[in-house]
This record gives sequence, C-alpha cells and structure tokens, in this order.
Amino acid sequence: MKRRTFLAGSSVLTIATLALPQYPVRAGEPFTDAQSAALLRMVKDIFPHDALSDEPYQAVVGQLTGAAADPNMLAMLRDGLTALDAAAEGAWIDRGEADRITALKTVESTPFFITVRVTSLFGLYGNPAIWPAFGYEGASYEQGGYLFRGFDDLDWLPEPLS
Amino acid sequence: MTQFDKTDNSVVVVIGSGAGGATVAHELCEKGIKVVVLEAGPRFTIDDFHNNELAAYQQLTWADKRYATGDWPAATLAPEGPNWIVKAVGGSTVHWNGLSFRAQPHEFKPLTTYGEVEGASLADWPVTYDELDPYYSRAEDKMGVTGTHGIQRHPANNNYKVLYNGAQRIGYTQISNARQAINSEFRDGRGACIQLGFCNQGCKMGAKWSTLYSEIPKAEETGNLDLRSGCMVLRVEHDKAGNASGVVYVDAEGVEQRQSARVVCVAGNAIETPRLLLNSNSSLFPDGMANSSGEVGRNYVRHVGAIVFGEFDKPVNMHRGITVPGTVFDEAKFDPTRGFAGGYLIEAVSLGLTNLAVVGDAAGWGRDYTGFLEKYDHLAGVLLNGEDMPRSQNGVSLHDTERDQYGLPVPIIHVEEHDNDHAMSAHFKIQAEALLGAAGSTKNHHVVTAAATHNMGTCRMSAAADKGVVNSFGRTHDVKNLFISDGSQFTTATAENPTLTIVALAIRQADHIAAEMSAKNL
Repeated sequence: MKRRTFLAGSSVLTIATLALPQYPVRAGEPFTDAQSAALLRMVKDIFPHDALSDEPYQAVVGQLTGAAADPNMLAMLRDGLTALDAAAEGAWIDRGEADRITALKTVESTPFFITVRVTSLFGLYGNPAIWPAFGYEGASYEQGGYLFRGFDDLDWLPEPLS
Repeated sequence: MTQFDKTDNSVVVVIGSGAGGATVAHELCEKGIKVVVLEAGPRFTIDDFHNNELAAYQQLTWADKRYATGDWPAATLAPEGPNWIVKAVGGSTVHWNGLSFRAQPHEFKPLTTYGEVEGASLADWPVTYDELDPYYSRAEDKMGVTGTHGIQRHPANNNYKVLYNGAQRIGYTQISNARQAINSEFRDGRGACIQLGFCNQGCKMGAKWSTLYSEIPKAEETGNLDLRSGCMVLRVEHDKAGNASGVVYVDAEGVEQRQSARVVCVAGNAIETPRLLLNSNSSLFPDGMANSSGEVGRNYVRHVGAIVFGEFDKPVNMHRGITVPGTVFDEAKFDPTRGFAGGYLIEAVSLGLTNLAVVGDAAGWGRDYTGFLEKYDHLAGVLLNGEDMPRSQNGVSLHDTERDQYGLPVPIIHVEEHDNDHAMSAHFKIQAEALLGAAGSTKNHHVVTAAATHNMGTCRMSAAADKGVVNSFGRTHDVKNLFISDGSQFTTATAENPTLTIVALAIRQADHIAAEMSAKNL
C-alpha cells in the first residue's frame, strides 16, 4: 500500500481515501522498549476502550513497527515521539491522562499523529477480535444471516403497520 | 463464451457494465443485436464477496486517483478519493443498497416547478414521467422491486422499527419498507434475502439485484454478448463524417486494442463518462467528443447527504439485516415554505463498526468519540438523500499534467455547494433529531458524508442541442451513433436514489437503438 493513500498532508481522511495499511507485524526493533511503550500508550489514548485488553492495541503497535522498516516512516515516528515528550515537558508516557491528551492535541494535525491514528483506526476497528465488546456481530453469511438470529428482535417499539 | 472479431463493425460497443451499461446491453442482446461490453474492472462471483467492510472496500472500490476541489466536504475530507463507486463487472450495482423509488412527475420539470433559482443551472428534462412510466414498470419487474408487480415487502428489521415509529410520532405518514430491489422470496433465478446485513459489500445471497448476476448472464445466454473485463477504454474514435467508428482500450494484459463499432454506448458512471468524451478530442471535436454545447462534464450532481445516529437506552442492533431497510417520503415533495427547492428522502441506514469508526467523525479520537462507538448496538441511523442544485461550474475536468496508470489525465471533481443544499441539509438535521428523539434517542450524533456515490448530470439531457449533451433517448446531439447510457444523462438529480431511473432510461434507449437500427438510421 502506498503511503500517500493514507497520508494526504494534514487533511483528515475518510474511507474513500483509505486502504487498510498492510504492514508486516513486528515486535521490538527498530524501536526501543520505551518507544514501543509510548506508542502503545498513544494508540490507547487515541481510541480508549476500557473493556479491551492490551492485545488488540499491541497488534496496532506491531503494524507501526512493521511500517518502520521504511526509514522515512521510522524517522517520522521517532521524531513524533520526541516532539510528544517536548510537548509534555518530560516523559509524555509518565503524565496523567489529561496531560497526555493535552500534549496529543498539540500534535494532532501532524503526519505523525495522523499516521498513528489512521493505522489504529483500521488496525483496531477492523480487528474482528474486538467486535464482540461492541455488540457488532460481523460476518453472518456462514451462520445463515440474521433472518433467524434477531434481525427483528427489537421489542420496545410497536410493530410497524407499513 | 461468444467472441466477436475486433474488426466487426456491426457490433454495439457498450462501455461499462453497471446499471445503465449492462441493462442496455442485455436488452439489445435479447433483440438479436451483437454487443461487446468493455468493463474496466475484474469479474467476481458471489462466492468472492466478503462479509467484511474493509475487505469488500478493497476488493470492489474504484480507487484510481481523482481530485476533489471546491467547498464540498470531499475537498477536505477525501481530496484524492471523493467518490465511492465500484470498479468491477456489475459496476456500482454490486454495492448499491437496492432502494428503488421512481422520480416524481414534477421532478422532471424542476425549472417549471421551482422557477429560476439563482446560481443554479436548473432545466426541465426533455422526457416526461408519463413517457417513462411504462419503462419504470419494466425496470421494476426486471429488478424485482418489492411492493410492485405483486412482490412481497420484507419484514421490518430493527433499524426500520426505529425509523417507522419515530417518523409516525412526529406526524409523517408516507413511511414504507417497500421499494427494495432485493428479493423477499426466490424470484427470477435469484435467492431470497436472509438479512445478511452486507448489502454494500456485494450480496452473497444474490438477493439484491445486480447486473453481475442478472442482466449479464442472461445476455450471455443469448449468444450475443462478448463481455471483456479488465478493459479500460482510452478514447472513442470517429470517421471522417464524425460518426463513432470504434473504441481504443487497454486489455487485461495491458495491450492496447481497438474494437470497431456500429454504435457506441458510454456508461462509465458520471465521472468516467464525461472524462472519456473529453479524452476523445480530435481535430473535428477539439473540446471533446459530443461537446459542441460545452456541457460535457458540467452540472454534476450527487445528492445532498448527511447521516444522524441516535443513541437509545435499549439495544437496536442496526447491523442485523438490510442496510437501508425503509424510507420516509413526506419530505420528498415540492414545498418552498420549507425554505428550499426540491425535496429529500429520509432513509434508515446502518453501518458496521469498522465503517462507523471511519466515517463517524473523519478526524475523531479520544473518549468522546470512543464513547459514541461503544454505544454501537444501541444506535440507529437515518440518512438524507436530497435533490442538490445543479450548477454549471460543478463537474468533471481533466488535470493539466498528472496522468493515471493508463496514461490518461486524472479527473478533477469540482463542487461549489448551493445555499439551497445547505438549507435542505439544515432542515433534515432538525427533522432527523425530532424523529430519533420521538423514537426514544437520548443523544444524537451528526455525520458529514464525504464520498459521493450517486454521480449524475455530467452529460445532461436537453431538447436543444446547445443546452445539453444528449436528447431524451440519451443520444448525443453531435454524434448520431453515440449514446450515454448511465446517470450522466440526468438533467437534474431528483430526490430519489438514481438506479431505478437509470435502468428505466436504459431499457427505453435500447428500444430506440433497436428501432433505429431496423430503420437503417444507425
């Protein structure tokens, strides 16, 4: 997947411009443990869901780590984390949630933030493992659709007459 | 499979295999006319479809580069991908919702009905509702539209129950879950809907009408169709007299080919159709083929759109079943006391979690946004589909320098929204909030829709040759054997989803082409 398809400058992006980033999932290198931890914290702060374990968020960090095989991407992510620490006037990851969010808002229009956000968006919400926590049931064809599995089970409103 | 010789100049060449192209091709094949369909995308089968929003999006979407300019949301939210349409055999009938309302009689005379609207290029269609009426009926029968021809409606799904009750409680009376080109029972060789909830990802039951598994295989059975997928047309060529003589295309192996033609029908969707005409310029047609009026690529319309999601205390599970399961028609009327011309439909709509996260807020993050997403199974959605004002400056033009993978200039889609569109959108938001609130919503979430899927108007119909590109049969004023067979020929948008009208016009056009061929006028 070409990077320009999800990195249109500082513009916000929609499904029409986006394709799922298909990075190889890697762990560790080229990031330090501290950098990997900061990326995980950032992904969780961008899309916080208290009911989810770290696992789906770690998968996104793995995608970012895979993407960092590209030296330009690696430099952008490393520089972005450095800028985040600068915005937090210290180690960003050690700040409380409110302070972390304040720091993230100062970088939210940068390619760094947009890259992490978009990778998280598709990596997280495209991951079927998280869907049950939202009540989204996903693929239905193999189970015969919803015709006999609750397509009309809403019972707190009267039945339509037309 | 039938194959016609590339030098065979007795064939009708149809460019595009969506609602317009495949319908005109099938109708001609049934009349014994030889047809070559050139489709830019690949040919999938129902088994290839995914019950997965991301996988389907990647599989089906026309992703070639396009630029959006102007002040419409796409210019900032989707500047390099402003249109969500399909590049595959079947075109956008693979991902459409199936909603099949007829346009209303007065919507064929918008200039007469609404009067001059400053800053808009309104015009009456050169065809009337009464003339189209029998073709609408044939289209409804062909597509299997529920509530017509004795075809049963679907049972109400959860999302429709919310729409229905909310609408009724605020006084709306024209609420229906009919008019779906989705089989409620086995019909015409296609299975019945089992409420999969993936209408937009390619219907794995084949219950929703699509030319991919209806018009195209039927046309192939006649022995008169030569369908070539993976073939991108570069230009239409003409003879010394200015008649279309053939088309040049790149085949699936990347080899340039030429197919001779007796008649050429262009149906590439309202972006690619004018683009092809503009790219087919020559010394005889310096501004592009069939463009003596200067109207090719202008008057682009795509419907005023917006979505509102309501949050409810009790579960809705909107994802279970038909994606657009019902409609409120009360606001589709002409009523200038609302402060705008034209009307709109309110349609129930669902999104899967992935698409909701992506489009719910194009820049959304943080606890406010994730809190909304966590309400997923307690959400119900309503969609605005309204008539937008045509404007001469809105449309498709060619990039000066940038070329795509075929060497063709990249298209630029420019839209400057009319105040009428904004007034309509504002009215809808108030009505949608009231409707959802009446059904019990505790909070409403507004979504800006960036990508356009209903593309229309860029080769508009007109009676006068200097006011539009085609006549009432979709035949270009300038080139007698060149036809436009898709939504490009719409003079104006109307409030209704466009596919049924595209199919009705295509059936009528095929009758006209066959009659003109018999009379040796083509």
